[in-house]
Amino acid sequence: MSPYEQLGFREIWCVDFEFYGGPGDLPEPVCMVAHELVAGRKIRMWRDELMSRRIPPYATDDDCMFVSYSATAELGCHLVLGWPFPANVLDLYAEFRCLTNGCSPPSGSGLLGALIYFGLDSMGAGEKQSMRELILTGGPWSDEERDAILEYCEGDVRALERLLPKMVGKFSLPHALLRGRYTKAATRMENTGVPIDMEALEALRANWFEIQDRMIIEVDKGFGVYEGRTFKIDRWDDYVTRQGIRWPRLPSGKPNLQEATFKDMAIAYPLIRSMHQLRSTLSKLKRLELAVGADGRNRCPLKCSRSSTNRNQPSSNKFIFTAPSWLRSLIKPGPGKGVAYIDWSQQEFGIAAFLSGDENMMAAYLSGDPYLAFAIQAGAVPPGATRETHWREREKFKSCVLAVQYGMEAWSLAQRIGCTEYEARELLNLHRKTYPKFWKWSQAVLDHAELRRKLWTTYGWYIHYPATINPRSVMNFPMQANGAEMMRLAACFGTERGVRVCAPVHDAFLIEFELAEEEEAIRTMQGAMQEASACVLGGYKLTTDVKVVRYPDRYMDKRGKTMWDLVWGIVGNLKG
Amino acid sequence: MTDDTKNKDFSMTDETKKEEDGGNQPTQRKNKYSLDDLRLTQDFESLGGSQKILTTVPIRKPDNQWFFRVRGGDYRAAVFVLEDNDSRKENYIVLPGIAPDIEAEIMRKTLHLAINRRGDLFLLPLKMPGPDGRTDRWQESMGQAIEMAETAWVRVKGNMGMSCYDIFQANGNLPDPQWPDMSFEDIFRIAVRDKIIDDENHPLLRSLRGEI
Repeated sequence: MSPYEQLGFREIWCVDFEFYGGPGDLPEPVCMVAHELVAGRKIRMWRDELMSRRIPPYATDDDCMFVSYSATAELGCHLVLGWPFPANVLDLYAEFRCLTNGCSPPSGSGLLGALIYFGLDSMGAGEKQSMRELILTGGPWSDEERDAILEYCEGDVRALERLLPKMVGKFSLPHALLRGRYTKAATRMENTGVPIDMEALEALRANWFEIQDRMIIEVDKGFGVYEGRTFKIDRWDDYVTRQGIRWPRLPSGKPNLQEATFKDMAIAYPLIRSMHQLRSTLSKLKRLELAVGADGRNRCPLKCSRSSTNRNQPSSNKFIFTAPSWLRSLIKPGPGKGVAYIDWSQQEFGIAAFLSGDENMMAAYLSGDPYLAFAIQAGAVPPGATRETHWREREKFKSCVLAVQYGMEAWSLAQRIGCTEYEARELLNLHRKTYPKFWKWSQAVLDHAELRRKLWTTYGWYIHYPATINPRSVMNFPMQANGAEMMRLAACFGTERGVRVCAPVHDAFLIEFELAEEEEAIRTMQGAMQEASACVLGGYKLTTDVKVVRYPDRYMDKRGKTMWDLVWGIVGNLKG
Repeated sequence: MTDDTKNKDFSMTDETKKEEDGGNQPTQRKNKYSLDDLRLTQDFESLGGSQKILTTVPIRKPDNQWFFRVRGGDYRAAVFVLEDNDSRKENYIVLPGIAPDIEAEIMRKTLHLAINRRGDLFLLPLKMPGPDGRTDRWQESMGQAIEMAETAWVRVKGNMGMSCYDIFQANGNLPDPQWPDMSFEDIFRIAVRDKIIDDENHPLLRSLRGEI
């Protein structure tokens, strides 16, 4: 039986599109090449032919399979052409990532890297800068250029033809098609994009460098650590010493100024939050490169399956939700519309509880307030305690839960909640004592990774551990990667049920709706998210929280409000 | 576990199939499986993992910072004990009739199986009344603590002025300890493995006789 027959489809189409488009714009298809592997048919089509069709020139029914490498690009062309999605999508990029996740293939995870990995001829495949530049000009192209572009496109299709037989048998087809199903959802999200207040964005763009200078001056008034645009480490050292903050240090003795450290410390010490936002803005947004199309939508490739936990990994300076949080206030629904930010309540805690089967932890999640429930279970507050009567203890236990999730040491927890290291250690011990089954399961996860050198999620995303393992990251893998599975399924259910999902955001989605349909859209998405959690957790449903923003209001992340107000004050002064 | 689909496998390599395989064909085509069918187990405990092996059970008093519980019923043994004062008061179990010449050095103690909040087991020795039936306040208070520890988490701390142990009971509604699934005989064997004096020429006995 040939590898293609083994797959059991009537037709298997390897497809590649070439396209162009500015940042944030929808793709403009230039050409398409498709090779059918069972009967050996070949199709080459130029832009005008593509635009004239209402359906693809290849079969997309349930008996056929569409094969691509990073399929959201091809499926994005389907959407702009008004073509239906194929019933079955096999994204070989996702499968290659799943196969090699954790192993760092020598030539990367691109199409070229996959070919080299399997010892295949890589000639004629992969990115050629000159051809990409030629395509991105948007034409017009001469006949020779047109032939060259088609040939370039067909090179990738031939590469897929070589790659597929090598990969058949190395992945589970049902799981691969489930991942393919997600690429359709991701394509819809990329296509929808996030509505942006263009007027505000233009005001920022027009004066971005000056705004940065003034942000430094304004924020630094309370710190005195900048000299021009230079952050002076010794001045920061003096500042934290004066404030009595025990700042984490490098082996050299100098303050550790890494983003993750700053982020942690900004949570522990709200007085340095504005400095964290400033530094984050200056490092991520040297230029304001947020990818916003001419239609006012923030769009960029979500880069599915890029991270080791199978989460999306969009660009940190092009995607609104990976930019500093104050910038999210640029999100603004258009007239007659609204957006809703829907997130799972304490998703990681819920996943840990239901996958480990720890009854205490499950009861804590189901109580609706796991942090207070933890404090009660640990005997730190009486059974009748409420958020109001014991808010201080609740905050402590909340920090402890989060510390466990982040793999934080007692020292860091002590910093965060302002207690002694001994108290923090006792608090962490309480978690172990209250949730022994979770810890036993967590240890079994670590043991499995150590002994078998791999782990997987409920829907078959694998990670391999060829070398030394980091216990904290291994023990956190089931929560992160199953959280990603939950996101993927919810994105499928939501988009397939007609919800306009603008973007996935770690454990949440931003959706958009006509105000008249607000209730139905939110209910449908919440249903999709609950159903997804039940799939991943063997029947247990996680609850969701909703934050709605209606025109003319703008989205506001509470962490970024002060900075947004500051920036907007600067913009006002510059205009005035 | 909440997972009822363990041992189902659709994964990619022969090696993986051997580990978790339910015998399904990994390349089988579309739509045959529901999402429920595709769900893989997260019960890594049942797939191997590891198990803590009990190798050490000290015979000791609880640290004054530990809260501990005592397992009642048959989880105790009356033994003859010889304390080695040269090595942090290690308790040695002396078999009856081995050393009649140093009987005065030997005490009768009951060893109770106990556990602290970290889950570490230990055998808690309690001196038994002498031939005259008398005991001291240290032993009385420890006996009281042991009795309480059968149903509650307690901590003991020496009170030199009163020549007894102060007993503290935990206020919180703490869960019961997880006792290992082992018989007392097995635990006892581990505890006394290298602490048994069953020969009159044991170095500790010879040392007490002044022979070495």
